[in-house]
Order: sequence, then C-alpha cells, then structure tokens
Amino acid sequence: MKKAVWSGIIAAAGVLALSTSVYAQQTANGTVNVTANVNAKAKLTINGASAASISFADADPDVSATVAASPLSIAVKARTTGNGAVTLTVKASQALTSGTDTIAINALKWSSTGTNFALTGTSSSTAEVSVLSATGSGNHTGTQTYALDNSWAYATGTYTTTLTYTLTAP
Amino acid sequence: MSVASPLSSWLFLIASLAIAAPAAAQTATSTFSANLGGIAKLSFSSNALSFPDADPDTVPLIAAAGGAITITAKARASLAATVTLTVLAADDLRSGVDTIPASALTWTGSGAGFTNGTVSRATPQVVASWTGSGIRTGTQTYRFQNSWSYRTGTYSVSLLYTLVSP
Repeated sequence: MKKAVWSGIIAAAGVLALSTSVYAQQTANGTVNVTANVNAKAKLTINGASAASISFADADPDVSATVAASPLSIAVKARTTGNGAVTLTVKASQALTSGTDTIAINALKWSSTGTNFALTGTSSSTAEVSVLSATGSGNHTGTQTYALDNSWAYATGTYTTTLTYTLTAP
Repeated sequence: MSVASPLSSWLFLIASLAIAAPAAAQTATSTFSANLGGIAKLSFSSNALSFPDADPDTVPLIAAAGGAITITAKARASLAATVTLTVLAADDLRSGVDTIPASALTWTGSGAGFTNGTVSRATPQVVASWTGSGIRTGTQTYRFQNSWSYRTGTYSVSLLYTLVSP
C-alpha cells in the first residue's frame, strides 16, 4: 500500500510538471495590397507660364544683321513609358505680318541651350520644327533665344506672328 | 504484493481525504488554475490600398482612394511585455520591369501606440507598439510620393504586417 501512495504522489508531480505553462512568442500576420496608377502626362511652361511674348527692337541692318530677343526659359515635364519619345515642336501661325506687309517666317531663327534641346532652328509656318527630343519620363529645362534677320528690304511696321509649341509624351 | 496503478492511487488519495475531514469543521481550498498562453490577432478594415493618378505639381503626395486603414490588434502577453506591429514591403512598387521604391509610401498613424513611418522593403518598420495585453485600434493613412520621373503603369506591392506578442 505504501508503494501505491508513493506512486500516486509521483504521478501527481508528473501531472503538475506537465501542466507548467510554456510561453512562446505569438505572431499574427496580415497583408495589404497596394496599387498606384501612374498615367502619362505632359506639362510645358515658357517663362513660367503657358504663354509668353518676345519682341525685337528696331535696329540698323548695317550694324545688326540679326536682332535678338530676350531668351525664353522653357520647362518641360513629361511622364511616359520607359522608352516613350518626348517631343517639343514649334510652328508659326503665319509669316510675320504687319497689315498687308510680311516678312518670311524663316527670318525668325533660334538657338537653344539645355540637354536634349535642338541647338538651332528655323521657324516654319508649314511644318513642326523640333525644339526638344528626349526619351522617358522626367523634367527638361532649357533656353531658347530667338533672332530675327534684319534687312533694308523690310517695309516699316510692327510685325507679329504666333508660335505654337506642342509637347507630346505618349 | 501487486503494484497499484497511478489511477488507483489517486482514487485512494481522494477517498482518504474525503473520509478524514469532519463535516462540521470542514474548510476547503480550491486552487483555480487557468493556463493563459500568449496569443495575437490582427485585422484590417481593408486589405487593399489604391492610389489614383495625379499631377505631381499639384498633388505631390497622393492620398489613398479609400482613406485610412483601421487596424485592430489583439494581443495577450505578460504584464511588461512589448507588443509590436511592423510592416514590411514584399518588394518595390512594380509595374512589369519598372519600379518605384517602396519608400515612396509613407503613412501617418493615429491611435494610442501608433506612429508615423516610411515603408521599407529591407527592414520591418514599426507601425505601433504597446505594453501588455489588450485590444488596440488605430489608423494608418498612407500617401504615395508623386513624381514626374515615374514611368507610366499600374504599380503594385504587398505590405506584410506582423504582430508580435512575446
């Protein structure tokens, strides 16, 4: 009988030992799926705005064969595909016109600074002329300085035309 | 002499205790033991975040279309234990071969224990931490850093949350 009692005590101790709590680190996991849409965009500013004006002062053709205007600051922002071609072109609405008098639009030329900008160009009223050509998304800034060929042949007047810039980012 | 089984020994011990105590002066002690182990649960008001397209000049930080995510964390831990909720991006935001760094995702937290942070794909970032057991609720308002330099596409990534209750 004595042995049976001891067996019971040992068994009870065993049960207690087995019931001792073992605290393990607990973790819970969760997942949130994120989607962000990035669409194509293009933005162009000239001198910080959507429109600008340039003017040429009168000058003696013997002294100034060309008359320069103040440089235009051009900022292009484009978001496109990795290999998307970003192009900026310019086209004149017509020849420089003062009433019935005109000066051929190719008398208006420019030079540019800035990465991916065409170094020089000649205005056209019949075709788009490239100002900038780049690949992929990003910002592009440069300057474009127009110069007007001067000539004794021009009739006096105030000549105007409109230059329309087109930025394309597919 | 035969050897008694442990069960018969238990029965003998219980019977002996019952007989030995006089009914009129009986006192009894009952020891209640509940084994409360650590446990952790995590739930979200939504498992999806969507950021619409926007002009980087006018919206440099895009808010998620669905607004804030409400997070409920339930944890049972020891009295002084620190319960921690972290988030880790599975990858950068990806659209085919194009990527945007996961760090373009930032959040502001509200609710006791919740913090602000920036998502990382390399190191789990602490979303919230508390001491001891309890049910905690807070919100995370995500924003997506907008940029002209991103390539067009629909970018996605999974954010992996881990609640640890030591």
